[in-house]
Amino acid sequence: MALLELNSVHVRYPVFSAGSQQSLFTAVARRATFGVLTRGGAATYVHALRGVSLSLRDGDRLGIIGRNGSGKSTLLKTLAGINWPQEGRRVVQGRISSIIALGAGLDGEKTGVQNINFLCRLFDIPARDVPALRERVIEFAELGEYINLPTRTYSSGMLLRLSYGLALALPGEILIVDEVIGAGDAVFQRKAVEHTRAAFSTAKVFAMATHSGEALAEYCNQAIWMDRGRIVDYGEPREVWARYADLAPRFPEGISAAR
Amino acid sequence: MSTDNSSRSIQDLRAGLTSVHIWMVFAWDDLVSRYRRTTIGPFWITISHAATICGLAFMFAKIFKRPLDEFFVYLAAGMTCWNLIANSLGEGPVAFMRAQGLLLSYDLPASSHVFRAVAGQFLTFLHNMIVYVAALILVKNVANANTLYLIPGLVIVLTAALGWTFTLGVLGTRFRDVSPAVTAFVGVLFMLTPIFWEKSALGSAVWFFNLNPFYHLVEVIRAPMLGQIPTMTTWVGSIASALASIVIGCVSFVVSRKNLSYWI
Repeated sequence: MALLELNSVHVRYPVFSAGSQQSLFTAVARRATFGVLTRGGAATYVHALRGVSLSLRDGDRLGIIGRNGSGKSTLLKTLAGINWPQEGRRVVQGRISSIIALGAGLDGEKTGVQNINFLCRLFDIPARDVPALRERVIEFAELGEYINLPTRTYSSGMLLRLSYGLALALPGEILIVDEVIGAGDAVFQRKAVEHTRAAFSTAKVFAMATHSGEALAEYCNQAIWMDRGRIVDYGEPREVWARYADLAPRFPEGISAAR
Repeated sequence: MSTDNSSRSIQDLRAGLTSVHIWMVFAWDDLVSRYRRTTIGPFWITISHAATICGLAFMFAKIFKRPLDEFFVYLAAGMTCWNLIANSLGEGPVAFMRAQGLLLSYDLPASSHVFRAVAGQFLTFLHNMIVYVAALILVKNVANANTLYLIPGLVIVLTAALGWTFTLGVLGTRFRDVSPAVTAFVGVLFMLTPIFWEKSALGSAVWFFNLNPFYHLVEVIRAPMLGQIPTMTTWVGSIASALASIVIGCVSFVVSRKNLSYWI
């Protein structure tokens, strides 16, 4: 059984605005002089998740909506295990396959095929399964001759197709996708829906962030609305989307400030 | 598998240590990709190493008035050992930084990037060993049964290297001036450690070397390569340094792992 849980999770990003905040010598000087010798001040923190709890089990397909900067991506990164929460707990059972940032984790100097092979080895895919997996990714990505060129030559759409193909093909009971799917063209969108749905037979838990009500209805069977690092609404995707579309434009400062 | 941060860090460390295939894949890939567009590939390492040794040997054998063959072999062994240590120190602060893309995309053990770095340094060391072996064959053979002590010696040095790569890796991710500071430090260290000059040149100032952990780390592998058994002081000094390094390294990593993705 796949399981992914967050329990009152807090995430704060340190923001280093002045160069001296990333200097060991400044830090040592500040300590040694008990703060007399300070320049640039201490780092500021962005409190990106403020006590988020959620629990996903087999069959749960979660859509995350909310305005820019509301914590959607941070939440996905925390679910994916990339960000470690400073407070709260994360519980996970099952392998995670994720696509968080476009082309991230791909080596621009390697060709598409070399990148696929490299990731297969990193994820310890048995050698006998690699050719089939590679074929699936290539078939999905439809890169033609480009699959044998370094990925630094790819357009963002091509990177997306390769990354998404990999995320779908690598084994995982939990599939986590940031809003990147929105970047593809119409043909890709159709194909992505088809293949993602097919992946639901093996991926037992799915979570994605999106800005599209259609995608939300298409992929998800439950939705949360993030606002200023908190979950402000939860429920059936269409209903949450309707409330979001209705309320969000009226409260530019964020719904949690208004309540 | 439930997780809170420190047990998750230890889990990361254990997973990194045991996923040998991951860091060997990485280390090999690093080596190959550095020379992807060259014909002889990683053997450029060997060539540049040989060139440095030849240059230094001819000059310093004259300056120190030493027989060239003896001094050549001394340098071939010493520089090969020193390169392992110096390169590993230099790579330490960027161990996590250069894995940024992967660290921010996948929940793979971060510690594997430290094992990867040290495994890569070991592969480079093997390339450099070609120069040492060539010196034995072409110039003067000093290897004998004592040379087998190289194996425990390497275990000690690689353990120390793992330790400082963890510590420097974490520090270098948080503080961006660690990398240039280490480069400067390694430059000074090269002068202060008897690599291109001999310990005997300093006469009674032996205490000075005994306080330099890097001297013991060089000596614990260089002595066997020159057919000698390392002294007791060197065994104790190098083992103590390696233990201190690995303990500090593991603690730094376990304490800081949770922050890596925010610092990077």
